[in-house]
Amino acid sequence: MRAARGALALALLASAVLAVGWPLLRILAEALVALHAGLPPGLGRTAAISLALSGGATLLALLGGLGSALTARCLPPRTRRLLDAALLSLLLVPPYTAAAAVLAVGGRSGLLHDLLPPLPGAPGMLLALTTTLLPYPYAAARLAWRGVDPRLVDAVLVHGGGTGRVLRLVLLPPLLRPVAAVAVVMLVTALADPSVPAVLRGRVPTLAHTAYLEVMAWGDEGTAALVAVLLALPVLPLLLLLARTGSPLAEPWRGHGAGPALALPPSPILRTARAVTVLVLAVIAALLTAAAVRSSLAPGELLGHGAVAALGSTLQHALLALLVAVPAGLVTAGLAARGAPRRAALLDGLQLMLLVLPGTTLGLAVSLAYRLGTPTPVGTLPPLVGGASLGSGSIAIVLVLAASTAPLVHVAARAGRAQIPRGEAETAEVLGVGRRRRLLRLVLPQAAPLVAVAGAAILVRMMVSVTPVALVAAPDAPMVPALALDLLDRAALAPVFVLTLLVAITIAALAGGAAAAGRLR
Amino acid sequence: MTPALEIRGAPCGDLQVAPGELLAVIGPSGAGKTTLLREIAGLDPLPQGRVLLHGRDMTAVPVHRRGVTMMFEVPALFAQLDVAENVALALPAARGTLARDQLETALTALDLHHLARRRPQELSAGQRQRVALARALVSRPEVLLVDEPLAHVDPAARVALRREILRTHRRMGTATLYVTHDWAEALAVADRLAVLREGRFVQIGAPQEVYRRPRDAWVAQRIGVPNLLPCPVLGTAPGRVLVRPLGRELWVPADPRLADGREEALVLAHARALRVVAGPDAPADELDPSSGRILGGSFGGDHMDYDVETAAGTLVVRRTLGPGEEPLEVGTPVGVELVADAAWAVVRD
Repeated sequence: MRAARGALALALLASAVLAVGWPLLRILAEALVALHAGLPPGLGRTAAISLALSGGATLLALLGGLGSALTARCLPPRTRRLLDAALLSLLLVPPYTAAAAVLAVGGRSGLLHDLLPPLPGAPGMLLALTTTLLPYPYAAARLAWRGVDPRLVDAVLVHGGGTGRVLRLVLLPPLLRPVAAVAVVMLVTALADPSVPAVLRGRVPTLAHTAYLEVMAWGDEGTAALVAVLLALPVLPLLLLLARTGSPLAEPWRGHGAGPALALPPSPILRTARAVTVLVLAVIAALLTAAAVRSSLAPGELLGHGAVAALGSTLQHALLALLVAVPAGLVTAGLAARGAPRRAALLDGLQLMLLVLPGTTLGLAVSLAYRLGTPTPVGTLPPLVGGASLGSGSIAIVLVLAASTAPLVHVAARAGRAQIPRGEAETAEVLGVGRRRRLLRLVLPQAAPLVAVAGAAILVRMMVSVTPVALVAAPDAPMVPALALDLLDRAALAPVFVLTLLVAITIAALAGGAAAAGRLR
Repeated sequence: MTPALEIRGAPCGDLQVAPGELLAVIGPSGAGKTTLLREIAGLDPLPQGRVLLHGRDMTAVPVHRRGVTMMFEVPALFAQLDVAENVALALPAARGTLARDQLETALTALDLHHLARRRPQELSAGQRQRVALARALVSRPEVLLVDEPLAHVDPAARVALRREILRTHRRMGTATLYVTHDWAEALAVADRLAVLREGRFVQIGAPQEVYRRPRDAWVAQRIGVPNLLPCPVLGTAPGRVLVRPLGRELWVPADPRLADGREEALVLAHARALRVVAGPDAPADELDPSSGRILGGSFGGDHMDYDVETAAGTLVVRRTLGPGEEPLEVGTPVGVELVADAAWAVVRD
């Protein structure tokens, strides 16, 4: 019985690896063919501009996020929660909404048009990307510093060390690996996002937008595949880091509670951090105000029937994808926990590779691999019901969403398991508590909050990301990001703000429900 | 002479520590011992009053500039640094020759040379505390604050580490405030003792004085006085009161506050202040208040501590065992006598 269950799990895993692995091989092959035909003109310059923009946004977001996290750690818990809410709510803001807010601030009819230099183009993209990336380092630092032992801070201070030494000896060591990993994720996210350039590019070309246009407008899939593979290259150092040292993405989850405010002596470092925090809050306030003003002044109906349909369809697909992703993530986490270290490393590596894979690369790969008439090693793909193929429509959307979100469930479940105190786990074993009861009474209560948080993050990612969804979407499955881009194409900013607000409320309600259910357990 | 450390006008009361003195602060959990140390170090603000170091007011000086170091209950070593680096952390200029000499001296003094390149996680609990002590002393602080350093050390290593702390303290002559809740430890290390109850000092004095002349029943119970005998005061003389514990009138050394006409006293007697009388000398009359019966006993090597049931309650009585002498059996009828000069009478609250 046990062997049969194991075999079934392994078979499912193999199918999943094949289902996702084949598109990756396909896009790689397409990219190599395109490369063999020669690099498209201007690609090097586009790549350099993209890298500079994404690198700049990553650096600025790191500065803002880490400075704000340091300020937050020195604030009393109640004030700290306010700062948390201000910065972490940015996770609910999709990049195209941030770009639209930048237009509302500094565009031709923007709120501060007369005071600011023209924002469309590189400065605007930098601002929008930085704003959407801010919560990443902030969350990483806040989670990493939950585990900081205040006694170590006391030890530095009573031995004559100041804030600088506290940073070097106590606050930086737990931060380095998670922030290094998060920085790579930020860079990849910024590089691979086509929506900010779609709104704000001006005359500045970027890789992600080029790939998007190649597919959506000009149908040159070879160039698109080449660009998509280029976009995935920065992931390699992260994968090497993961292969060498295990998952730094799982580490910050292992905190010990919020803890009291750190009392550090006054220093230029703290003053700079506070100034950075004020600047960050000022930028957020300006973008929010501009969006609110633009929405309140908008003529006519803010949301048409199409928006409601897109919201419903997106939610439906997101929940369907969750139904696939959550069990898949939990199964791989369970297999990794029970298997030999090598198997665990392999499963962690596969899941994390998917987690950090750019949406553009994944979407294009699925589209190339499963569209109608695509040759595969076992023959040409047959059409599905009604002539639809896997490459477009609901099935493909659910597939790409599930593939890009199952890893987060995997990481959360692994971290949840790791949080179980060793004493408790061994006591349960010594007392002869069976595996099923251990799972229900010990593992799930520990892992459930993390899986719920990961679930909320997944929903956000699913509902607002342009890629991979837009690359596999079809007219019969309207999605929020595609609609938003369409609205922005027509310079309709206000409906996008309202749509984002609706999505945020929906996600907050679902996340609140999940958290309440977790507490009830 | 200017005290090395002085607390004035604080809620806990005034306190002075002389240069080179080791003052142990003792009290139960929650009495405010650690809070007091943190306030002196500057980690927490002093609610009122002042902290002076060698006469200089340090109340407003931030923690890292006070010239005070602290050794915590847990060693608080940095896992990413080795032993030598952890110790050198407390030196302001870690690259100077003087700093290197100081580091060498500290490592040698605490016998840590052979562990210098090890990481904290490779050390035993006792070794980690030795590293923490070396780190606390390497910068030759004006005042050292020590917070229950032996709390997490196993009993065998505890005695050795206590000796190490004392030896190092004597050699370096740093004024030290040593917090503990263990009376045996406090009595063993302290030049003076300060007893803390609910955030206030209730008695400060030499260890012998506090041990022999506790201020009240609360202090007596905390230092392990097992026998508290309430008695009416029959008469007073300078430094003594006449009481009748266990059926015999005795002039017992007394707290001066008993001279102001109080009617009730509490006679405090360590186990060795009572004598057990067995065999033919034991009182034959069971109604005699000094007569009793052995309930049980604990073996202490060269002595036995007997629990004796008497009309005054169950008393703990110590009896030194002579060569080849067997302990008394449970149920043996005995008499109990109080050695007047070894007892101490206090006001009965």
